[in-house]
Amino acid sequence: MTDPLHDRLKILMVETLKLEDVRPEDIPDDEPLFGSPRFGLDSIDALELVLRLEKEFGVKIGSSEESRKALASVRTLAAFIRASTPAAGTSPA
Amino acid sequence: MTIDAGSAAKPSAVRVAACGCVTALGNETETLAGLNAGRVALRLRPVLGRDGGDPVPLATIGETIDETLPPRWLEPVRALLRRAPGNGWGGERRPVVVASSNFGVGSLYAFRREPGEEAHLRHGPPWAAVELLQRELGWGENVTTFSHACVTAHLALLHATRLLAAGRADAALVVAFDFTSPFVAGGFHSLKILNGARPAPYAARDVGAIGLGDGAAFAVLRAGEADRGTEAGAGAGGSAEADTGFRLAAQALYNEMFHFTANAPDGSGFEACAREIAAAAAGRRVWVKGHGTGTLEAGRLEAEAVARTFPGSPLVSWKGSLGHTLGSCGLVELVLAVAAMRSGTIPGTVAATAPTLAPNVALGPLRASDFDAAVLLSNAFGGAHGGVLLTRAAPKESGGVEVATESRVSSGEASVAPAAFERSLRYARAELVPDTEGAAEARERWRDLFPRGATRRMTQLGMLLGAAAQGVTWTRRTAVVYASSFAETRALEDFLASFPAASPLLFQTSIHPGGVQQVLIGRQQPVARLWPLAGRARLTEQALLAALLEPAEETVLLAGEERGTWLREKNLASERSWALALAFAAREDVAEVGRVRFEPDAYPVTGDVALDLGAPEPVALAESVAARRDLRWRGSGGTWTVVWR
Repeated sequence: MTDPLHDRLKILMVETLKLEDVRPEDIPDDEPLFGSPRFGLDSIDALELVLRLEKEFGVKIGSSEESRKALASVRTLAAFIRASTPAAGTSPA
Repeated sequence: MTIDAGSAAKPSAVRVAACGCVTALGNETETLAGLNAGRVALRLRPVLGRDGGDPVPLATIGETIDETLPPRWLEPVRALLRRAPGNGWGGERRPVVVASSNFGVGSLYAFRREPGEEAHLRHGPPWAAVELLQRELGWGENVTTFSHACVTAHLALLHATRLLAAGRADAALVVAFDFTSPFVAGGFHSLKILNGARPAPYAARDVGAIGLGDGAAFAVLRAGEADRGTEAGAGAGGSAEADTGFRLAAQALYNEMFHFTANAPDGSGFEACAREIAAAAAGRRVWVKGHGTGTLEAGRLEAEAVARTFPGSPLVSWKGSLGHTLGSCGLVELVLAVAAMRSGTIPGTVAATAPTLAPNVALGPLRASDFDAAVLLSNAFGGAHGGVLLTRAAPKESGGVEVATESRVSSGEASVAPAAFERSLRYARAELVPDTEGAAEARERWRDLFPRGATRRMTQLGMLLGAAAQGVTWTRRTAVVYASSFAETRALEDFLASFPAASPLLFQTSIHPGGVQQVLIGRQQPVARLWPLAGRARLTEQALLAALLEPAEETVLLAGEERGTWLREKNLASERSWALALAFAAREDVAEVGRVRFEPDAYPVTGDVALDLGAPEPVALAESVAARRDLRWRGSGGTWTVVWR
């Protein structure tokens, strides 16, 4: 059974980063998201996604180092969002 | 009559006849005293000025970062430039070279906030800010404008040096300025590097942070030595005798084209630029003023590269106090280095504490008498690097002046007429698109020309430049000249619309020379030098001159514009989207498609090409390429001709 927050994050990634040939279900939970040649995403994509997440979930990421840690994978990102906004659960703010 | 193939000789040492700067701590004397006392000019202020936002470290000249009418940078820059000796700047033999990353972009933000206040729009684009300075300071038309983020001042210094070496100037005034604004602060905040932490350059910390600072500087450069009898330090009068006692003995540029906001992880980009300077510095005892903004990865790569290239030399950065003054930092910090070496004390890395990212970082002050010279380094988005070797002039001896540099230039006032230039074009292509084509249509048309997935973030301008340059053979020895008056118009419009939650992608994309960087970073293609020109008047001629002064194995000239929306309605963007690419060959034995020729006024003009009226805009050059129609026009000091085979 998939985690709804994971599913939501994958949809946000495809929408925000305009990943034309990628379906949300193609994005793995545990593989590195950025810097991996599979999706061609880099630190600017990560920051653009952070902007979207800040609006969507009300989280705050303060530095580039913090964003790198939080966005290591879909799983770490979901854990970060849950830790930052315990009421978020699976729903956006 | 024989015309030279191009006197783009490697420039030799150039004299710093006079210089000055202003920062949040005051003029160069006041700033130096503040740095030596460990003063930090940065204060936590709302990132968006009166629009609020997170507190971030900013060092301002004046109390606000909000743009005013007239612009808040005008009076400090005007007051500074009144100190620049000499007159007739902008005349045919006294060029002005202007460097900035942001110019008046804060005025565009101010207009967005106050849509009824159209006066802000008069100062927004780069050319508008420069034209304002021209009017205020009485400069002539001979003004070249560069914009390449945080290495811009290095480009301006090297271009001025080349003009002197080519006999096209008796003296050159280099001006650099950058004042922050909610536009700029919001952009860096979106990158998460301008955050609530204070910068500590080269300190080994968990979180990296930068500060932003206002800064402006000038330098008067002259070829040759000061006339005998001048004491080093005399800077008044703008005459051939003016001299600070310092020389730009070597200069280097390099472009990694690895990533917009990151450097090649092996530090090779830092090393490529530093090694050119190291070769010229051999045998000297040097200290190094690094870029050192306070970010961690770039700081580590730079410190380690400096340690490898200049073993035993201490490394300092002053951005922990002054903030990062962006496009002006290379010249602001050069002026401070001159002041420091003259005063006897070189400030250490203010606001940083141990442990540091590398052992060569000097936290405390240095004694200037322990060193012969300074290496001054800067780097910028896109992996751009700039370096200068600043040396003292050797003491005068009876019978003449001994120049303590690797080569000698002729003494006295240069009165050599500009040389004639003629270069073969081995490639030429233009893309002129209908007004109905935007980024989506361009993406569809050019998708297969770029690496998979690359076009999702490319702008229409970036794709057009890539399409125009599709037949160019790139190497790391290629030099690129890029001319655009309005540059990334749609990204600029969209970035302004993204506030208060500024988009990092749009900020990055809106920065000149984003279009070219999209093409070359997409190809992971380093180049020897990239010269992004801004400005408007005489831009075609300036771009061609920059290309013809380039000694690179092959030089590519790119130009282009992108049709805007509301900026176009305000006459602040191009009416049409287009791009062109010209590849100049260094050798004559290539299959040429055309030639570009400059004939000084002293020469009779050859050939039977009719003279066009007025200096053409770059789009006219693109139309000439597309139609293979010859062009000729009267420029500064001579006639330009473009002929096609």
